[in-house]
Amino acid sequence: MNASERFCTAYTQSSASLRDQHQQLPWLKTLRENALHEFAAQGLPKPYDEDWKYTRLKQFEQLEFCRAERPASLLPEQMSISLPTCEVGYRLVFINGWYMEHLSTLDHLPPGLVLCNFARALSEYSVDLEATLGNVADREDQPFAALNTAFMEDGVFLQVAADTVVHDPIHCLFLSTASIDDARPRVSYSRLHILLEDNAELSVVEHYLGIKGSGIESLGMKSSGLEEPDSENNELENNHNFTNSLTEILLQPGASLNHYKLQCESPDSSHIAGIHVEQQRGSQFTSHNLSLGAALARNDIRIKLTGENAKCCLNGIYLVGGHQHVDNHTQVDHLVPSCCSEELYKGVIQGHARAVFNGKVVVEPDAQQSDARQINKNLLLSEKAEVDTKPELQIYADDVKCSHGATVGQLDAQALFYLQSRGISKTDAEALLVYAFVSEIIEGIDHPGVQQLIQAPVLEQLSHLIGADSIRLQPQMPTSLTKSGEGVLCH
Amino acid sequence: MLRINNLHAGIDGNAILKGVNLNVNAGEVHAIMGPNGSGKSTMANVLAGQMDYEVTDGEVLLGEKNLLSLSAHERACEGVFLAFQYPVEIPGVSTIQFLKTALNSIRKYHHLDELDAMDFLEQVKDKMQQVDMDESLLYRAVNEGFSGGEKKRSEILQMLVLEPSLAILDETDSGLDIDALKTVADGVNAFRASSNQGQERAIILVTHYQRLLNYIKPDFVHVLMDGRIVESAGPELALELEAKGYSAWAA
Repeated sequence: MNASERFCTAYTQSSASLRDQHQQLPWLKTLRENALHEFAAQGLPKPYDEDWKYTRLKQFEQLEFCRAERPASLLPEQMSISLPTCEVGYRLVFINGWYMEHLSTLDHLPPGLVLCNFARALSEYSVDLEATLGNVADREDQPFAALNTAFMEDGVFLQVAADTVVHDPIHCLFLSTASIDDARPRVSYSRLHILLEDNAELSVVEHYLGIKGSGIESLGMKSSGLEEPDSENNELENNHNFTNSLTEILLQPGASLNHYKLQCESPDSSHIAGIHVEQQRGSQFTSHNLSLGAALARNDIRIKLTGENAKCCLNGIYLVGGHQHVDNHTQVDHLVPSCCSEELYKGVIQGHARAVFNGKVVVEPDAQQSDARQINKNLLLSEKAEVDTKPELQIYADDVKCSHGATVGQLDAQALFYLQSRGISKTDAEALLVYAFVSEIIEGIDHPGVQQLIQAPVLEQLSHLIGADSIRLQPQMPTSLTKSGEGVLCH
Repeated sequence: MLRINNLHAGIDGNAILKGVNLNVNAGEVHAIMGPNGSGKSTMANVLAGQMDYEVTDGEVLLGEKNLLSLSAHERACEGVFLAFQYPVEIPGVSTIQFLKTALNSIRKYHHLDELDAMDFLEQVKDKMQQVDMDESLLYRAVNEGFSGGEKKRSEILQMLVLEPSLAILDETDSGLDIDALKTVADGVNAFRASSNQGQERAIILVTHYQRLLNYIKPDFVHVLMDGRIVESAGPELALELEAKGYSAWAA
């Protein structure tokens, strides 16, 4: 039995809870089974698949995944780690895909905001979900989106009523724990469904975090959370988790969403995710996509600009070392006139790590006066580090502005000497330059709590890549006075 | 303070410095003059620890310390400062962040506590006035988009903030108009004067032209030709060079 067949078999053996759901919600059963067929028809991506040319799943295919057991209900003080938090806002916590109500904080939701875990939404908001679930995501050429749709059990449901502005960010924290025994590697399928009605505004953080041990106090020491890649793993621990997440976002006219994704999975896990967005007239989607963890990470970001004057800004940072592999595939479809898309992805690659960036922009014949810009910049810190970057513009309209650029470079030796000649050690100088390389994106994050949440693991990963004890940033001066090098997208 | 004995250095196998000898005492200003390609900038860079250059012979002592055994940042922490002929642009690092990181690195080397952020800022602002620099430059990336004059002023500002014991100014006068030249010279003279207040300071000026020496009066002028110092005298030597050129020493 090959890997695709194993997934299909798992479906037929799927849990009683799924079968119960299907009795209540026949439309969900139909959706899942259609998705399963779509997955089975495509199978897992093959080496000759253009979209997966540089990302091979050979090792991944050999793993036999099983669903994680539902963890016991936990209170915050029972956790072995202090959960990372945004200063303010609401939080949903999941462990191995299971919603943990007692770790979550959803009190005092403002009027106009519907926020709950996805499993609960299936029963409470099934009418809304039936009308919209699965409508945005492409599944035909996205086997992992199909797979998620077949297996999705829990995740986040978010709906913001027209003209509602939600100021505090929604922090969705997906924890993966290590298996304690020699159990099979585990898979979790998280699903986020986000719907913003006309002129609604919202910020969401999608946060994936691999933790050592089981996450339970009595079994582990308190740790800082994010594991050091290459750190000595306890032999009994099996961290090879697979997260397959899919985020569907529908932005109705004039809506505005800040979406942050922070991926800090355990060093030997796999993370394959999709973020699929439909943007109607005058809507704005700003994405910050940070990929720091996992052995294998793949993001497919798909934006459909379906209403005039919609604007999307895609910012990305990937920081990888050791034998990590990160692959970001983005696609923006300009379907109607006068839309704008901007993209800035920056990567730091060290050791034997490999990064893939593929930025596709399609401007359809009707989409006159489209404005599409794309930049991908890479910093290689070692001889064996590798990046494959590919812009892909398909332009079928004649009155458009489109540009793209890609760079691959190393740390500037002259700049390093300049810093050292002022008393700054080589390691600190490297840290300063590497952080400077990605800082324009991080400093472009509007919300201070979210910025902090993201900055800490970025600094941790960078110091790991450089071999510094830690990177200390000298306190910044008022940001209103700072001028960044090349203008961060959308802030 | 600085003793250079028989210094030989080169790059990519090409010998550039061929036995430089120089003694610089605290409180002194030495001008190194010479034609293009004579080794002036190489000497400045070798002293600062630019590792592209290979030292093949000789020794350099800063006080009792063997300078050549130290890395670039250790030399800076021991008090060596090079004002670059071509200051490097560093996108993404603000000037204030850079200055603060540098000063605190040096303080840490000497086991001193970090400076309070507000005190530091006040200090820097005072020194910016001395070199007539606009405060807004503090919040811009290091040297990025700076005019030639702003870059040179920024070098002098760094010198004033880091307070080295030995400042080496590599063609700091090049590309400056007369007003900027005066401002930069004022900054250097202020730095020099502070050595009378109990601080041990010396300056090496590397320059093509006598012009700078009208504003910063050297105690000694040396002529560097083909990697060796061929003549050393008082400030009058600079005037003589201006009048006669270097041909008198040409081999």
